[in-house]
Amino acid sequence: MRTFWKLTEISMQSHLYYRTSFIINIISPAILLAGQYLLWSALYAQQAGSAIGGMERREMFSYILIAFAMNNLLGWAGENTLSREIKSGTIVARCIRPVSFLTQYMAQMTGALLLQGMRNLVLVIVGFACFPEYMKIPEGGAVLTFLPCFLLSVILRLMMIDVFSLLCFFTTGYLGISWTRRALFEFFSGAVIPVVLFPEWLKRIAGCTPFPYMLQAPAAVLLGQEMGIGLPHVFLLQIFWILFFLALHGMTYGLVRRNMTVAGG
Amino acid sequence: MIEAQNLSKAYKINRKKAGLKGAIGNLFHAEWAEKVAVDRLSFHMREGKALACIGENGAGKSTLIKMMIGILTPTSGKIRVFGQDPRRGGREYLRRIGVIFGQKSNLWTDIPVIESYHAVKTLYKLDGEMFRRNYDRVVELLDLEELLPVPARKLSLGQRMRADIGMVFLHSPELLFLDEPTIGLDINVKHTIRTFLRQMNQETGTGIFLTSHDLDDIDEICDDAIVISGGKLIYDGTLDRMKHRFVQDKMIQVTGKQERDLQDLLPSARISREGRVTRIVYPIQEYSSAEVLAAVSGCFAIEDITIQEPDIDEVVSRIFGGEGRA
Repeated sequence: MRTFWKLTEISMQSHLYYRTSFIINIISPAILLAGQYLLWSALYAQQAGSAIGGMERREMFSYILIAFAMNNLLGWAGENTLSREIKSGTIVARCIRPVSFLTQYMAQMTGALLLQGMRNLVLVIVGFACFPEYMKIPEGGAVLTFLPCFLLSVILRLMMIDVFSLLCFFTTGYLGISWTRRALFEFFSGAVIPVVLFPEWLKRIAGCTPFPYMLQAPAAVLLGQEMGIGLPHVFLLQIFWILFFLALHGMTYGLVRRNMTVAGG
Repeated sequence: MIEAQNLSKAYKINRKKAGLKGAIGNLFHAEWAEKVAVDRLSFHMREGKALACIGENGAGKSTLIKMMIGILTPTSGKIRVFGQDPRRGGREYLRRIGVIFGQKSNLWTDIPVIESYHAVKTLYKLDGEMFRRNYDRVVELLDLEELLPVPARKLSLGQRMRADIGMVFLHSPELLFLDEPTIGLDINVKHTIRTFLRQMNQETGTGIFLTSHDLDDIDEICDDAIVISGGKLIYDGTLDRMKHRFVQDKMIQVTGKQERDLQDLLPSARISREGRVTRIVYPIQEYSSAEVLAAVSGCFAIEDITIQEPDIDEVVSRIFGGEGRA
Protein backbone atom coordinates (compact mmCIF):
# COMPACT_ATOMS: atom_id res chain seq x y z
CA MET A 1 0.00 0.00 0.00
CA ARG A 2 2.94 2.32 0.71
CA THR A 3 4.04 1.87 -2.90
CA PHE A 4 0.57 2.76 -4.15
CA TRP A 5 0.37 5.92 -2.06
CA LYS A 6 3.90 6.95 -2.99
CA LEU A 7 3.00 6.73 -6.68
CA THR A 8 -0.29 8.53 -6.02
CA GLU A 9 1.62 11.29 -4.26
CA ILE A 10 4.01 11.62 -7.21
CA SER A 11 1.07 11.80 -9.60
CA MET A 12 -0.51 14.59 -7.53
CA GLN A 13 2.78 16.47 -7.37
CA SER A 14 3.15 16.18 -11.15
CA HIS A 15 -0.32 17.64 -11.68
CA LEU A 16 0.33 20.46 -9.23
CA TYR A 17 3.60 21.28 -11.01
CA TYR A 18 1.64 22.97 -13.80
CA ARG A 19 0.07 25.80 -11.79
CA THR A 20 -1.69 27.61 -14.66
CA SER A 21 -3.20 24.42 -15.93
CA PHE A 22 -4.36 23.56 -12.41
CA ILE A 23 -6.06 26.93 -11.99
CA ILE A 24 -7.71 26.78 -15.44
CA ASN A 25 -9.06 23.36 -14.51
CA ILE A 26 -10.85 24.95 -11.57
CA ILE A 27 -12.57 27.56 -13.73
CA SER A 28 -13.42 25.66 -16.93
CA PRO A 29 -15.77 23.08 -15.35
CA ALA A 30 -17.88 25.90 -13.89
CA ILE A 31 -18.39 27.25 -17.42
CA LEU A 32 -19.41 23.83 -18.77
CA LEU A 33 -21.75 23.37 -15.83
CA ALA A 34 -23.35 26.75 -16.47
CA GLY A 35 -23.97 25.63 -20.07
CA GLN A 36 -25.77 22.50 -18.88
CA TYR A 37 -27.82 24.55 -16.41
CA LEU A 38 -28.95 26.92 -19.17
CA LEU A 39 -29.87 24.02 -21.47
CA TRP A 40 -32.01 22.27 -18.89
CA SER A 41 -33.53 25.59 -17.74
CA ALA A 42 -34.69 26.21 -21.31
CA LEU A 43 -36.16 22.69 -21.52
CA TYR A 44 -38.02 23.11 -18.22
CA ALA A 45 -39.25 26.56 -19.31
CA GLN A 46 -40.83 24.92 -22.37
CA GLN A 47 -42.53 22.38 -20.10
CA ALA A 48 -44.02 25.24 -18.05
CA GLY A 49 -42.38 23.91 -14.92
CA SER A 50 -43.73 20.36 -15.08
CA ALA A 51 -41.47 17.32 -14.59
CA ILE A 52 -39.38 15.83 -17.40
CA GLY A 53 -39.24 12.03 -17.31
CA GLY A 54 -40.55 12.12 -13.76
CA MET A 55 -37.78 14.46 -12.59
CA GLU A 56 -38.76 17.77 -11.04
CA ARG A 57 -36.72 20.86 -11.89
CA ARG A 58 -34.97 20.96 -8.47
CA GLU A 59 -34.11 17.27 -8.66
CA MET A 60 -32.78 17.68 -12.18
CA PHE A 61 -30.50 20.55 -11.23
CA SER A 62 -29.11 18.54 -8.31
CA TYR A 63 -28.60 15.61 -10.66
CA ILE A 64 -26.79 17.79 -13.19
CA LEU A 65 -24.45 19.11 -10.54
CA ILE A 66 -23.67 15.67 -9.07
CA ALA A 67 -23.40 13.93 -12.45
CA PHE A 68 -21.14 16.67 -13.72
CA ALA A 69 -18.87 16.43 -10.68
CA MET A 70 -18.58 12.65 -11.07
CA ASN A 71 -18.13 12.71 -14.85
CA ASN A 72 -15.47 15.37 -14.59
CA LEU A 73 -13.37 13.31 -12.17
CA LEU A 74 -11.44 11.57 -14.93
CA GLY A 75 -10.87 13.15 -18.30
CA TRP A 76 -8.48 12.32 -21.08
CA ALA A 77 -5.51 11.66 -18.83
CA GLY A 78 -5.83 7.86 -18.85
CA GLU A 79 -5.27 7.03 -22.50
CA ASN A 80 -3.32 10.19 -23.26
CA THR A 81 -0.57 9.58 -20.70
CA LEU A 82 -0.05 5.99 -21.71
CA SER A 83 -0.18 6.64 -25.44
CA ARG A 84 2.43 9.42 -25.06
CA GLU A 85 4.71 7.02 -23.20
CA ILE A 86 4.21 4.31 -25.81
CA LYS A 87 4.97 6.69 -28.69
CA SER A 88 8.13 8.03 -27.07
CA GLY A 89 9.27 4.65 -25.74
CA THR A 90 9.41 5.97 -22.17
CA ILE A 91 6.91 3.23 -21.29
CA VAL A 92 10.08 1.21 -20.60
CA ALA A 93 10.49 3.08 -17.29
CA ARG A 94 7.11 1.71 -16.15
CA CYS A 95 8.01 -1.81 -17.26
CA ILE A 96 11.27 -1.95 -15.31
CA ARG A 97 9.90 -0.82 -11.95
CA PRO A 98 9.30 -3.67 -9.52
CA VAL A 99 5.65 -2.71 -9.22
CA SER A 100 2.77 -4.21 -11.20
CA PHE A 101 1.57 -2.27 -14.21
CA LEU A 102 -1.95 -2.08 -12.78
CA THR A 103 -0.76 -0.68 -9.45
CA GLN A 104 1.31 1.98 -11.19
CA TYR A 105 -1.53 2.93 -13.48
CA MET A 106 -4.18 3.00 -10.78
CA ALA A 107 -1.96 5.05 -8.48
CA GLN A 108 -1.28 7.55 -11.23
CA MET A 109 -4.96 7.89 -12.06
CA THR A 110 -5.89 8.11 -8.39
CA GLY A 111 -3.53 11.05 -8.02
CA ALA A 112 -5.29 12.88 -10.87
CA LEU A 113 -8.67 11.87 -9.51
CA LEU A 114 -8.04 13.06 -5.96
CA LEU A 115 -7.06 16.54 -7.11
CA GLN A 116 -10.00 16.81 -9.45
CA GLY A 117 -12.20 15.33 -6.73
CA MET A 118 -11.24 18.10 -4.31
CA ARG A 119 -12.07 20.77 -6.87
CA ASN A 120 -15.37 19.10 -7.69
CA LEU A 121 -16.28 18.73 -4.04
CA VAL A 122 -15.86 22.49 -3.62
CA LEU A 123 -18.03 23.01 -6.70
CA VAL A 124 -20.79 20.75 -5.33
CA ILE A 125 -20.73 22.30 -1.85
CA VAL A 126 -20.78 25.83 -3.28
CA GLY A 127 -23.62 24.79 -5.63
CA PHE A 128 -25.80 23.42 -2.84
CA ALA A 129 -24.89 26.18 -0.39
CA CYS A 130 -25.50 29.10 -2.76
CA PHE A 131 -28.61 27.86 -4.59
CA PRO A 132 -30.58 25.76 -2.08
CA GLU A 133 -33.89 27.00 -3.48
CA TYR A 134 -33.08 25.55 -6.92
CA MET A 135 -31.71 22.24 -5.67
CA LYS A 136 -32.90 19.10 -3.96
CA ILE A 137 -30.53 18.76 -1.02
CA PRO A 138 -29.45 15.13 -0.35
CA GLU A 139 -30.43 13.68 3.01
CA GLY A 140 -27.85 12.56 5.60
CA GLY A 141 -28.77 8.85 5.31
CA ALA A 142 -28.54 9.01 1.52
CA VAL A 143 -25.07 10.54 1.77
CA LEU A 144 -23.90 7.63 3.93
CA THR A 145 -25.23 5.05 1.44
CA PHE A 146 -23.83 7.05 -1.44
CA LEU A 147 -20.24 6.89 -0.18
CA PRO A 148 -19.59 3.12 -0.69
CA CYS A 149 -21.57 3.18 -3.93
CA PHE A 150 -19.50 6.12 -5.15
CA LEU A 151 -16.24 4.43 -4.11
CA LEU A 152 -17.14 1.29 -6.08
CA SER A 153 -18.19 3.42 -9.06
CA VAL A 154 -14.79 5.13 -9.06
CA ILE A 155 -12.88 1.83 -8.88
CA LEU A 156 -15.06 0.45 -11.67
CA ARG A 157 -14.42 3.48 -13.83
CA LEU A 158 -10.67 3.38 -13.20
CA MET A 159 -10.62 -0.28 -14.21
CA MET A 160 -12.53 0.48 -17.40
CA ILE A 161 -10.16 3.33 -18.31
CA ASP A 162 -7.20 1.04 -17.59
CA VAL A 163 -8.47 -1.57 -20.05
CA PHE A 164 -9.18 1.04 -22.72
CA SER A 165 -5.73 2.56 -22.12
CA LEU A 166 -4.06 -0.81 -22.65
CA LEU A 167 -5.55 -0.82 -26.16
CA CYS A 168 -3.19 2.08 -26.93
CA PHE A 169 -0.40 -0.51 -27.06
CA PHE A 170 -2.05 -1.87 -30.21
CA THR A 171 -3.10 1.42 -31.78
CA THR A 172 -0.29 3.71 -30.51
CA GLY A 173 -2.62 6.71 -30.84
CA TYR A 174 -5.14 7.45 -28.13
CA LEU A 175 -7.75 9.71 -29.68
CA GLY A 176 -9.93 7.04 -31.28
CA ILE A 177 -9.90 4.92 -28.14
CA SER A 178 -10.48 7.83 -25.81
CA TRP A 179 -13.35 9.22 -27.88
CA THR A 180 -15.01 5.81 -28.04
CA ARG A 181 -14.65 5.26 -24.30
CA ARG A 182 -15.94 8.74 -23.49
CA ALA A 183 -18.83 8.51 -25.93
CA LEU A 184 -19.95 5.15 -24.51
CA PHE A 185 -19.51 6.32 -20.94
CA GLU A 186 -21.15 9.71 -21.29
CA PHE A 187 -24.14 8.33 -23.15
CA PHE A 188 -24.88 5.15 -21.20
CA SER A 189 -23.82 6.33 -17.73
CA GLY A 190 -26.30 9.18 -17.60
CA ALA A 191 -23.58 11.82 -17.52
CA VAL A 192 -25.25 13.93 -20.19
CA ILE A 193 -28.87 12.73 -20.12
CA PRO A 194 -30.21 10.86 -17.08
CA VAL A 195 -30.87 7.20 -17.93
CA VAL A 196 -34.44 7.56 -16.63
CA LEU A 197 -35.16 9.72 -19.69
CA PHE A 198 -34.12 6.96 -22.10
CA PRO A 199 -36.85 4.97 -23.91
CA GLU A 200 -37.52 1.64 -22.22
CA TRP A 201 -35.56 -0.49 -24.74
CA LEU A 202 -32.50 1.77 -24.46
CA LYS A 203 -32.78 1.71 -20.68
CA ARG A 204 -32.62 -2.09 -20.83
CA ILE A 205 -29.53 -1.99 -23.05
CA ALA A 206 -27.86 0.53 -20.73
CA GLY A 207 -28.65 -1.72 -17.78
CA CYS A 208 -26.68 -4.55 -19.40
CA THR A 209 -23.55 -2.38 -19.63
CA PRO A 210 -21.29 -1.32 -16.74
CA PHE A 211 -21.73 2.39 -17.47
CA PRO A 212 -24.82 3.28 -15.35
CA TYR A 213 -23.09 1.78 -12.29
CA MET A 214 -20.29 4.29 -12.71
CA LEU A 215 -22.49 7.38 -12.47
CA GLN A 216 -26.26 7.02 -12.67
CA ALA A 217 -26.45 4.56 -9.77
CA PRO A 218 -24.47 6.59 -7.18
CA ALA A 219 -26.21 9.81 -8.27
CA ALA A 220 -29.61 8.13 -7.87
CA VAL A 221 -28.62 6.80 -4.44
CA LEU A 222 -27.61 10.29 -3.32
CA LEU A 223 -30.83 11.88 -4.56
CA GLY A 224 -33.01 9.03 -3.28
CA GLN A 225 -34.29 8.20 -6.78
CA GLU A 226 -35.95 4.96 -7.82
CA MET A 227 -33.41 2.72 -9.62
CA GLY A 228 -35.51 -0.24 -10.64
CA ILE A 229 -33.23 -2.58 -8.65
CA GLY A 230 -32.40 -2.72 -4.94
CA LEU A 231 -29.27 -1.20 -3.43
CA PRO A 232 -27.59 -4.59 -2.63
CA HIS A 233 -28.15 -5.53 -6.26
CA VAL A 234 -26.40 -2.32 -7.35
CA PHE A 235 -23.42 -3.09 -5.12
CA LEU A 236 -23.22 -6.63 -6.47
CA LEU A 237 -23.35 -5.44 -10.06
CA GLN A 238 -20.63 -2.89 -9.37
CA ILE A 239 -18.41 -5.61 -7.87
CA PHE A 240 -19.20 -7.94 -10.77
CA TRP A 241 -18.15 -5.34 -13.34
CA ILE A 242 -14.97 -4.54 -11.38
CA LEU A 243 -14.01 -8.23 -11.46
CA PHE A 244 -14.95 -8.38 -15.13
CA PHE A 245 -12.58 -5.52 -15.98
CA LEU A 246 -9.91 -7.00 -13.73
CA ALA A 247 -10.07 -10.22 -15.77
CA LEU A 248 -10.08 -8.21 -18.99
CA HIS A 249 -7.03 -6.32 -17.76
CA GLY A 250 -5.22 -9.62 -17.14
CA MET A 251 -6.03 -10.90 -20.62
CA THR A 252 -5.21 -7.66 -22.41
CA TYR A 253 -1.99 -7.10 -20.48
CA GLY A 254 -0.93 -10.68 -21.26
CA LEU A 255 -1.44 -9.94 -24.96
CA VAL A 256 0.44 -6.67 -24.62
CA ARG A 257 3.39 -8.43 -22.97
CA ARG A 258 3.56 -11.05 -25.70
CA ASN A 259 3.35 -8.60 -28.59
CA MET A 260 4.99 -5.54 -27.13
CA THR A 261 7.33 -3.46 -29.23
CA VAL A 262 9.12 -0.46 -27.79
CA ALA A 263 9.58 2.58 -29.95
CA GLY A 264 13.10 3.86 -30.53
CA GLY A 265 16.52 2.46 -29.73
CA MET B 1 24.96 -14.37 -15.21
CA ILE B 2 23.66 -13.96 -18.79
CA GLU B 3 23.28 -16.90 -21.16
CA ALA B 4 21.77 -16.49 -24.62
CA GLN B 5 21.25 -19.44 -26.94
CA ASN B 6 20.16 -19.02 -30.54
CA LEU B 7 18.23 -15.95 -29.52
CA SER B 8 16.15 -14.34 -32.27
CA LYS B 9 13.67 -11.54 -32.46
CA ALA B 10 11.70 -10.59 -35.55
CA TYR B 11 9.34 -7.62 -35.77
CA LYS B 12 6.35 -7.27 -38.02
CA ILE B 13 6.62 -3.93 -39.73
CA ASN B 14 3.74 -2.16 -41.42
CA ARG B 15 5.05 -0.98 -44.78
CA LYS B 16 3.38 2.32 -45.46
CA LYS B 17 3.07 3.50 -49.03
CA ALA B 18 4.38 6.96 -49.87
CA GLY B 19 2.31 10.08 -50.48
CA LEU B 20 -1.28 11.02 -49.74
CA LYS B 21 -2.65 8.37 -52.10
CA GLY B 22 -0.53 5.79 -50.33
CA ALA B 23 -1.70 7.00 -46.92
CA ILE B 24 -5.35 6.64 -47.97
CA GLY B 25 -4.58 3.23 -49.47
CA ASN B 26 -3.00 2.15 -46.20
CA LEU B 27 -6.34 2.66 -44.45
CA PHE B 28 -7.81 -0.17 -46.51
CA HIS B 29 -4.87 -2.44 -47.16
CA ALA B 30 -1.94 -2.90 -44.81
CA GLU B 31 1.25 -4.52 -46.05
CA TRP B 32 3.35 -6.30 -43.47
CA ALA B 33 6.97 -7.27 -43.66
CA GLU B 34 9.15 -9.13 -41.20
CA LYS B 35 12.38 -7.60 -39.95
CA VAL B 36 14.82 -9.78 -38.10
CA ALA B 37 16.41 -7.58 -35.43
CA VAL B 38 18.33 -10.33 -33.62
CA ASP B 39 19.33 -13.45 -35.48
CA ARG B 40 20.29 -16.67 -33.63
CA LEU B 41 22.57 -14.93 -31.16
CA SER B 42 24.50 -17.01 -28.61
CA PHE B 43 26.83 -15.60 -25.99
CA HIS B 44 27.37 -15.57 -22.26
CA MET B 45 28.49 -13.06 -19.69
CA ARG B 46 30.04 -14.06 -16.38
CA GLU B 47 29.14 -12.59 -13.01
CA GLY B 48 30.63 -9.19 -12.19
CA LYS B 49 32.03 -8.69 -15.70
CA ALA B 50 31.62 -5.65 -17.92
CA LEU B 51 30.60 -6.72 -21.41
CA ALA B 52 30.29 -4.33 -24.34
CA CYS B 53 27.87 -4.87 -27.16
CA ILE B 54 29.14 -3.18 -30.30
CA GLY B 55 27.10 -2.71 -33.44
CA GLU B 56 25.95 -0.22 -36.04
CA ASN B 57 22.63 1.62 -35.76
CA GLY B 58 19.83 -0.89 -36.12
CA ALA B 59 22.13 -3.85 -35.45
CA GLY B 60 19.79 -5.17 -32.77
CA LYS B 61 21.60 -3.98 -29.61
CA SER B 62 18.60 -2.31 -27.97
CA THR B 63 16.31 -5.18 -28.89
CA LEU B 64 18.78 -7.53 -27.24
CA ILE B 65 18.73 -5.46 -24.04
CA LYS B 66 14.93 -5.32 -24.05
CA MET B 67 14.81 -9.10 -24.27
CA MET B 68 17.31 -9.44 -21.44
CA ILE B 69 15.31 -7.17 -19.15
CA GLY B 70 12.16 -9.10 -19.96
CA ILE B 71 10.02 -6.55 -21.76
CA LEU B 72 10.31 -8.12 -25.22
CA THR B 73 9.52 -11.73 -26.00
CA PRO B 74 12.10 -13.53 -28.15
CA THR B 75 10.73 -15.02 -31.37
CA SER B 76 12.89 -18.08 -30.76
CA GLY B 77 15.87 -19.22 -28.73
CA LYS B 78 16.56 -18.95 -25.03
CA ILE B 79 17.75 -16.22 -22.72
CA ARG B 80 18.65 -16.78 -19.08
CA VAL B 81 19.75 -14.10 -16.64
CA PHE B 82 20.69 -15.30 -13.14
CA GLY B 83 19.64 -18.71 -14.43
CA GLN B 84 16.04 -17.72 -15.11
CA ASP B 85 13.91 -16.46 -17.95
CA PRO B 86 13.73 -12.66 -17.51
CA ARG B 87 10.08 -12.63 -18.53
CA ARG B 88 9.21 -14.96 -15.71
CA GLY B 89 11.44 -13.34 -13.12
CA GLY B 90 8.81 -10.81 -12.12
CA ARG B 91 9.43 -8.13 -9.53
CA GLU B 92 12.18 -10.09 -7.82
CA TYR B 93 14.19 -10.08 -11.06
CA LEU B 94 13.58 -6.37 -11.59
CA ARG B 95 14.94 -5.68 -8.10
CA ARG B 96 18.21 -7.37 -9.07
CA ILE B 97 18.83 -5.39 -12.24
CA GLY B 98 19.18 -1.77 -13.23
CA VAL B 99 18.44 -0.34 -16.66
CA ILE B 100 19.42 2.90 -18.35
CA PHE B 101 18.37 3.89 -21.82
CA GLY B 102 20.40 6.94 -22.80
CA GLN B 103 17.57 8.56 -24.69
CA LYS B 104 14.88 7.89 -22.10
CA SER B 105 14.83 8.93 -18.49
CA ASN B 106 13.66 6.78 -15.60
CA LEU B 107 13.24 9.84 -13.39
CA TRP B 108 9.79 11.27 -12.76
CA THR B 109 10.05 14.43 -14.80
CA ASP B 110 7.89 16.83 -12.80
CA ILE B 111 9.24 16.24 -9.31
CA PRO B 112 12.65 17.08 -7.82
CA VAL B 113 15.36 14.48 -8.34
CA ILE B 114 15.58 13.82 -4.60
CA GLU B 115 11.92 12.82 -4.57
CA SER B 116 12.49 10.36 -7.41
CA TYR B 117 15.28 8.90 -5.27
CA HIS B 118 12.97 8.59 -2.26
CA ALA B 119 10.35 6.97 -4.49
CA VAL B 120 12.94 4.34 -5.44
CA LYS B 121 13.44 3.64 -1.74
CA THR B 122 9.72 2.91 -1.36
CA LEU B 123 9.26 1.04 -4.65
CA TYR B 124 12.26 -1.23 -4.10
CA LYS B 125 11.46 -1.58 -0.39
CA LEU B 126 15.02 -0.58 0.58
CA ASP B 127 16.05 -0.46 4.20
CA GLY B 128 17.06 2.97 5.46
CA GLU B 129 20.71 2.20 6.04
CA MET B 130 21.33 0.65 2.63
CA PHE B 131 19.53 3.49 0.91
CA ARG B 132 21.51 6.11 2.82
CA ARG B 133 24.82 4.41 2.02
CA ASN B 134 24.09 4.19 -1.69
CA TYR B 135 22.57 7.65 -1.77
CA ASP B 136 25.61 9.27 -0.15
CA ARG B 137 27.91 7.40 -2.47
CA VAL B 138 26.19 8.35 -5.75
CA VAL B 139 25.67 11.95 -4.65
CA GLU B 140 29.37 12.28 -3.89
CA LEU B 141 30.80 10.39 -6.86
CA LEU B 142 28.46 11.88 -9.44
CA ASP B 143 28.46 15.34 -7.83
CA LEU B 144 24.67 15.44 -7.60
CA GLU B 145 24.16 17.72 -4.58
CA GLU B 146 23.05 20.73 -6.63
CA LEU B 147 20.74 18.70 -8.84
CA LEU B 148 18.73 17.08 -6.06
CA PRO B 149 16.14 19.86 -5.53
CA VAL B 150 15.63 20.42 -9.28
CA PRO B 151 12.78 18.71 -11.20
CA ALA B 152 14.21 16.37 -13.86
CA ARG B 153 12.38 18.36 -16.55
CA LYS B 154 14.67 21.31 -15.88
CA LEU B 155 17.98 19.42 -16.01
CA SER B 156 20.34 19.55 -18.96
CA LEU B 157 20.99 16.27 -20.78
CA GLY B 158 24.25 15.66 -18.94
CA GLN B 159 22.77 16.51 -15.53
CA ARG B 160 19.77 14.29 -16.22
CA MET B 161 21.97 11.38 -17.17
CA ARG B 162 24.07 11.78 -14.02
CA ALA B 163 20.88 11.82 -11.97
CA ASP B 164 19.56 8.78 -13.86
CA ILE B 165 22.76 6.83 -13.32
CA GLY B 166 22.78 7.77 -9.65
CA MET B 167 19.20 6.55 -9.30
CA VAL B 168 19.90 3.17 -10.86
CA PHE B 169 22.53 2.40 -8.22
CA LEU B 170 20.31 3.18 -5.23
CA HIS B 171 18.94 -0.35 -5.01
CA SER B 172 22.37 -2.01 -5.45
CA PRO B 173 21.62 -3.84 -8.69
CA GLU B 174 23.69 -6.95 -9.35
CA LEU B 175 23.54 -6.38 -13.08
CA LEU B 176 23.24 -3.17 -15.03
CA PHE B 177 22.02 -2.80 -18.61
CA LEU B 178 23.21 0.42 -20.18
CA ASP B 179 22.00 1.38 -23.62
CA GLU B 180 24.12 4.25 -24.93
CA PRO B 181 24.41 6.00 -21.57
CA THR B 182 26.70 8.78 -22.79
CA ILE B 183 24.89 9.70 -25.98
CA GLY B 184 24.99 13.45 -26.60
CA LEU B 185 27.02 14.24 -23.48
CA ASP B 186 30.06 16.51 -23.27
CA ILE B 187 33.50 15.13 -22.58
CA ASN B 188 33.53 16.03 -18.86
CA VAL B 189 30.22 14.34 -18.11
CA LYS B 190 31.29 11.31 -20.15
CA HIS B 191 34.46 11.09 -18.11
CA THR B 192 32.56 11.36 -14.81
CA ILE B 193 30.11 8.65 -15.85
CA ARG B 194 32.77 6.27 -17.19
CA THR B 195 34.91 6.64 -14.09
CA PHE B 196 31.90 6.06 -11.85
CA LEU B 197 30.73 2.99 -13.76
CA ARG B 198 34.18 1.45 -13.81
CA GLN B 199 34.56 2.09 -10.10
CA MET B 200 31.19 0.53 -9.28
CA ASN B 201 32.00 -2.48 -11.45
CA GLN B 202 35.32 -3.04 -9.73
CA GLU B 203 34.35 -2.18 -6.15
CA THR B 204 30.87 -3.61 -5.86
CA GLY B 205 31.09 -6.29 -8.55
CA THR B 206 28.04 -4.94 -10.37
CA GLY B 207 27.90 -6.64 -13.77
CA ILE B 208 27.60 -4.25 -16.70
CA PHE B 209 26.15 -4.93 -20.13
CA LEU B 210 26.89 -1.84 -22.18
CA THR B 211 25.97 -0.75 -25.66
CA SER B 212 27.53 2.45 -26.91
CA HIS B 213 28.60 4.14 -30.08
CA ASP B 214 31.25 5.93 -28.11
CA LEU B 215 34.10 3.48 -28.27
CA ASP B 216 35.97 5.25 -25.50
CA ASP B 217 33.10 4.24 -23.18
CA ILE B 218 33.69 0.65 -24.15
CA ASP B 219 37.45 0.89 -23.85
CA GLU B 220 37.28 2.47 -20.38
CA ILE B 221 34.48 0.39 -18.88
CA CYS B 222 34.58 -3.07 -20.44
CA ASP B 223 36.98 -5.99 -20.68
CA ASP B 224 34.96 -8.16 -23.03
CA ALA B 225 32.88 -7.48 -26.09
CA ILE B 226 30.42 -8.97 -28.48
CA VAL B 227 30.00 -7.46 -31.91
CA ILE B 228 26.72 -7.79 -33.76
CA SER B 229 25.90 -6.80 -37.27
CA GLY B 230 22.51 -7.20 -38.91
CA GLY B 231 21.39 -9.03 -35.78
CA LYS B 232 24.13 -11.67 -36.11
CA LEU B 233 27.04 -12.23 -33.78
CA ILE B 234 30.35 -11.63 -35.49
CA TYR B 235 32.69 -11.51 -32.51
CA ASP B 236 32.64 -12.71 -28.92
CA GLY B 237 35.76 -12.37 -26.75
CA THR B 238 38.02 -9.93 -24.99
CA LEU B 239 38.46 -6.37 -26.22
CA ASP B 240 42.21 -6.93 -26.50
CA ARG B 241 41.80 -9.99 -28.69
CA MET B 242 39.29 -8.11 -30.81
CA LYS B 243 41.75 -5.30 -31.37
CA HIS B 244 44.46 -7.68 -32.43
CA ARG B 245 42.18 -9.74 -34.60
CA PHE B 246 40.94 -6.84 -36.64
CA VAL B 247 43.99 -4.60 -36.73
CA GLN B 248 46.86 -5.39 -39.03
CA ASP B 249 49.19 -2.57 -38.04
CA LYS B 250 50.80 -1.24 -34.90
CA MET B 251 52.76 1.94 -34.44
CA ILE B 252 55.94 2.75 -32.56
CA GLN B 253 56.86 6.35 -31.90
CA VAL B 254 60.51 7.13 -31.22
CA THR B 255 62.01 10.39 -30.05
CA GLY B 256 65.77 10.73 -30.60
CA LYS B 257 68.50 11.06 -33.18
CA GLN B 258 68.44 8.59 -36.06
CA GLU B 259 71.88 7.03 -36.65
CA ARG B 260 71.12 4.40 -39.31
CA ASP B 261 68.46 3.87 -41.96
CA LEU B 262 65.58 1.81 -40.56
CA GLN B 263 63.79 1.11 -43.84
CA ASP B 264 66.49 -1.42 -44.84
CA LEU B 265 65.74 -3.46 -41.74
CA LEU B 266 61.94 -3.12 -41.95
CA PRO B 267 61.17 -2.83 -45.67
CA SER B 268 57.39 -3.33 -45.20
CA ALA B 269 57.06 -0.62 -42.51
CA ARG B 270 55.80 2.91 -43.23
CA ILE B 271 58.16 5.41 -41.63
CA SER B 272 57.52 9.11 -41.24
CA ARG B 273 59.57 11.75 -39.47
CA GLU B 274 58.65 15.06 -37.92
CA GLY B 275 61.48 16.89 -36.17
CA ARG B 276 63.01 14.54 -33.60
CA VAL B 277 59.94 12.25 -33.61
CA THR B 278 59.78 9.22 -35.92
CA ARG B 279 56.65 7.12 -36.40
CA ILE B 280 56.97 3.54 -37.59
CA VAL B 281 53.78 1.79 -38.66
CA TYR B 282 54.44 -1.91 -39.17
CA PRO B 283 52.29 -4.90 -40.20
CA ILE B 284 51.96 -7.24 -37.24
CA GLN B 285 51.69 -10.24 -39.57
CA GLU B 286 55.28 -9.63 -40.75
CA TYR B 287 57.10 -8.25 -37.74
CA SER B 288 56.77 -8.94 -34.05
CA SER B 289 57.07 -6.02 -31.65
CA ALA B 290 60.36 -7.48 -30.38
CA GLU B 291 61.82 -7.47 -33.90
CA VAL B 292 60.77 -3.89 -34.47
CA LEU B 293 62.13 -2.78 -31.10
CA ALA B 294 65.44 -4.48 -31.81
CA ALA B 295 65.66 -2.75 -35.19
CA VAL B 296 64.71 0.63 -33.71
CA SER B 297 67.22 0.41 -30.87
CA GLY B 298 69.96 -0.35 -33.41
CA CYS B 299 69.10 2.70 -35.52
CA PHE B 300 68.25 5.41 -32.93
CA ALA B 301 69.80 7.08 -29.93
CA ILE B 302 66.51 6.65 -28.12
CA GLU B 303 65.32 9.37 -25.72
CA ASP B 304 61.73 8.17 -25.54
CA ILE B 305 59.73 5.36 -27.12
CA THR B 306 56.02 4.39 -27.08
CA ILE B 307 54.19 1.48 -28.65
CA GLN B 308 50.70 2.47 -29.61
CA GLU B 309 48.06 -0.22 -29.21
CA PRO B 310 45.38 -0.43 -31.87
CA ASP B 311 42.69 2.19 -31.38
CA ILE B 312 39.20 0.75 -30.84
CA ASP B 313 37.69 3.25 -33.27
CA GLU B 314 39.94 1.83 -35.93
CA VAL B 315 39.00 -1.71 -34.95
CA VAL B 316 35.31 -1.05 -35.24
CA SER B 317 35.68 0.86 -38.46
CA ARG B 318 37.52 -2.15 -39.88
CA ILE B 319 34.91 -4.58 -38.60
CA PHE B 320 31.99 -2.70 -40.12
CA GLY B 321 34.03 -1.76 -43.17
CA GLY B 322 33.72 -5.40 -44.13
CA GLU B 323 37.02 -6.84 -43.01
CA GLY B 324 35.57 -8.38 -39.90
CA ARG B 325 32.71 -10.20 -41.54
CA ALA B 326 33.04 -13.88 -42.05
